[in-house]
Order: sequence, then C-alpha cells, then structure tokens
Amino acid sequence: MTASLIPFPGKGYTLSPEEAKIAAESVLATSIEQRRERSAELNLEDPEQLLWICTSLWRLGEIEPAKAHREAEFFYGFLESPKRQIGIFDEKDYYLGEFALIAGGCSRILSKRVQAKEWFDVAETHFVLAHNASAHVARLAYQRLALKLEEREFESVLHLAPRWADCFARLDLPEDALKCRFLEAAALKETGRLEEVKRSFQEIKLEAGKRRFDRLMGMASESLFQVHAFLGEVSEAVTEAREAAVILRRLDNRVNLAKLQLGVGYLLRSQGNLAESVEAFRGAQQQFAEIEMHADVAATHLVLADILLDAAQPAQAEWEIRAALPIIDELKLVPEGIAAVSLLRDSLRRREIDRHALRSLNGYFEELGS
Amino acid sequence: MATEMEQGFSRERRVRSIISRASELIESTLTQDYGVPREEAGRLEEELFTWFDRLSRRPGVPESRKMLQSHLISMTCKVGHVYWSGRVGESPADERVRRALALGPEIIAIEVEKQLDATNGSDVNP
Repeated sequence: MTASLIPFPGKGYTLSPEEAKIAAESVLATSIEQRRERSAELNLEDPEQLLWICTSLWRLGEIEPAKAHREAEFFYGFLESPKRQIGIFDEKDYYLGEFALIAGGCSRILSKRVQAKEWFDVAETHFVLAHNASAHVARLAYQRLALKLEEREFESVLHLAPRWADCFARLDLPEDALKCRFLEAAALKETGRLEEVKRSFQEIKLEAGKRRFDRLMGMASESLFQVHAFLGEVSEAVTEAREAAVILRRLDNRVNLAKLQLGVGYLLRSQGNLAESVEAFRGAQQQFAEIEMHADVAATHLVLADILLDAAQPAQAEWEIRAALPIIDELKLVPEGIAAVSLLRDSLRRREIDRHALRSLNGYFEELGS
Repeated sequence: MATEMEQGFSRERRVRSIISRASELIESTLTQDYGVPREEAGRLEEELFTWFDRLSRRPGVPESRKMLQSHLISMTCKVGHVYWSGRVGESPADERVRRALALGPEIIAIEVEKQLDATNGSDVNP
C-alpha cells in the first residue's frame, strides 16, 4: 500500500471492545431488513463492532454458511454504498475485503462456485489497498486453492499448496500454513497413496493439537476417519470419528459434523450394512438440508440411489435421482460431469437407471463430502 | 486447551508492551522525521494505537512481537508521509523531513525499526 492511499482519521465516538462485542450480537439478532433503517442506532459504522461481526461471521460460516453468507453480503453492501467514512487509516478497505472474503468462503462451502470466485475477485480489489496486503492476498489464495480442490483440480492443488504453506510460514501465520498442508493431503488422497495421506493427516492433527488449532484438529481427525475407513481399519476409524465428533460438537461446527455423518454412512456401506448406511446417509442429508447445503443434499440423493439399486429398490432409487437433478441444474453443479448428468437423465426416461453414469456423477461429488 | 479469553489476554499484553516500548520513538518519528506539530502528533499517536489494537485482532496478522511491531512502525511512517501529501503546495523546510519524504515511508520504517531494536536490545523476543 502506498502512503497516499491512507485517508486521515475520522472523528467520533467508538465503542469499546466490550461494548462492541455485546452490540455486535444485538446487530446480528436484528433482521437484515430492519438494519439499514436503524443503522445509526445500531452503530453499524463502528469499526470495533465491525471487527466483532467479522469474527462472528467466520464462526457462523461453519454453523450456518447460508446465513453467514447473507450477513456478509449485507455488510459488504452497507459499507460499499453509499460511500462512508469507516474507521481509521486502512480500516474501510480491510472490512470491505474481509466481508467479501467471508461471502466468498461461504459461497464455496455452499458449492456456489461461480459466486465464490466473484466474491474472491471483489475481496482482492479491497485487500490490495489495505495494510498487510500480502497476508490478505495469501488468505485469498488459500480460499481459491480450497475451491480448486472442490473442482477436483488435484494436480494444481498438489503443485500450489506446499508453496502457499511455505509462504504462510514466512508470514508467521502457522495456522494458515497448516491449512494448506491439509489441502495438499486432501488432494493426495485422490492419488490413492493412502498410507502417505494417513501419515500427513496424523502429522497435521498432532501439530494442530500442539498449537491449539481446534478446528483444524477436528477436521484432521475427520479426514483420518475417512482414510481409516477406506483402508478397512474399522476400529481406528471409529475411534477417530468419536474424537472428531467431540471436537466438532464443541465448536458447533455443523458443516463438518454433517460431513462426518456422511462418512459414517460410507463406512457402514463398505461393511455391507445397507439398511444402517441408508439411515446414516439420511441423517447426513437432513443435517445438510438444515444448513442449506443443497449441493450436498443432492450428492447424498445420488449416493442413496446407488445403495437402493444394490438393495433392488429401483423405484426408490429413481425417486432419489429425480430429487437430485433439479438441484444439480439450479446450482450448475459438476459442469465437468455434464455428460454423465445427461446420460442419467436419458436413462430415467427409459426407466432403466444408467449405473455407470450415476457412479461417475458420485465421483464428481466426492470432494463435497471430504 | 487455552481459552479464547486466555488468548485474548496474551494478545492484549503483547500489544500493550509493544505500544509502551515504541511510544517514544513513534512520537519522535512523527515530530522529527516528519515535522508533524506536537499537538497533531499526539492525536495521530492515539489513533495509531487504537488502530494497532484492532489490527492485532484481525485474521492474517502475525502473533510474534517482532512482526506485529513492524506493522505499527510501518503505519506510523505512512501516516507521517500522508500528513505532507495532504498539504498541497506546501513543502517542508526541515532537511530531515525532506529526506524522509524523498526516501518514502518504507525506508524510514526500516530505519525506525532498527532504532527500536537497538533501544530494546535483547528484550525484543521474537
């Protein structure tokens, strides 16, 4: 940032951190519709309060991502237009960047990838003007990398993740560095080198535990559960699942709790417990629906369809696929799997489900569950 | 596991300690390197500390004292520089101020940081 970009401070009363924390809760409890009208009374321009709101929204993103997205979008819009004097020095640019980043991160969790990319681009235009721009641009790069993983661009993730991990380490941001190593391990999982992946996640979990990065520790535990399950190490998988559940429940991380439940479904299925696995998948689907993760709801429909075909229930399977297809269309999911979607749709018309197309689509969706 | 409150206290202690060690140097940077009048410098210093306290709570900000301190020094120099950028048509008479403006805030920040490290000596833990 060049010096000429720093506006001189505005004047006026600012809430203390303690006041702002309480006030932020009250702002978030006020409906979005009422907020603009009551903006002065609610001190919506207060920089201290905005900081607390950002912190709350990052947390909310893992509890109710759709709600966090709506909130971030509101605050971005409020700060952006009409032009307002917010805080001191670089604060306005920082908050605009941060709200855009939160909106993008939540869009990513909700599988709204085009929207996520647009928000990341917007965040960048603000972060480059803010102080500590290199760190914020790196945080953006992490989100883009996570998006690449969801788009199954594994080679690119494997190429870039270690570089960004190194970059974060040099910026003295160890948690972000470890998050990049997590993405690298998740991409490596797709190469089938599961023993290597297991070691990576174990190292990440250990490091996260030492440094008290609880969220990352819970996610590493959840990933280890999946790896043990793939390797048929059932008792280790169950131990990890329990550990992950304790951490994720404590953090009220509903996004990852739902993914954990999905993993339980896969484990039960791999053991041949079809009825119990259906129950577990339905539980996960319910959890995804509650937090508006519609893409994951659709993906679970397809998995259920596959199981129901195994269980010789083609009519039920057809119903599951018919429930998934409109969501896939609406969210423009799996553009790379458009041929499989089309084959599946044709097979539905013939009342004879194309199993290969269904499984191929499940493959495209796998990253949503990881 | 450390609670959020414990982490908050430790951050707050670090911030207070950085401010108390850097305060004198920040004042002299504003008044001597950048020729900001004493009263105005006092007001800017207050704003800098408020900003710095909030900055320390943003994501993406390093925890180590050394790197955190750099942010305060860097913003101090940018603020000093902007003080003159806002005075269209005026140019400082003081040679030291002219030098600071010619070199730019990034270079001055490096010099100030070196001074601060030298003053604090081995007390500055990474």
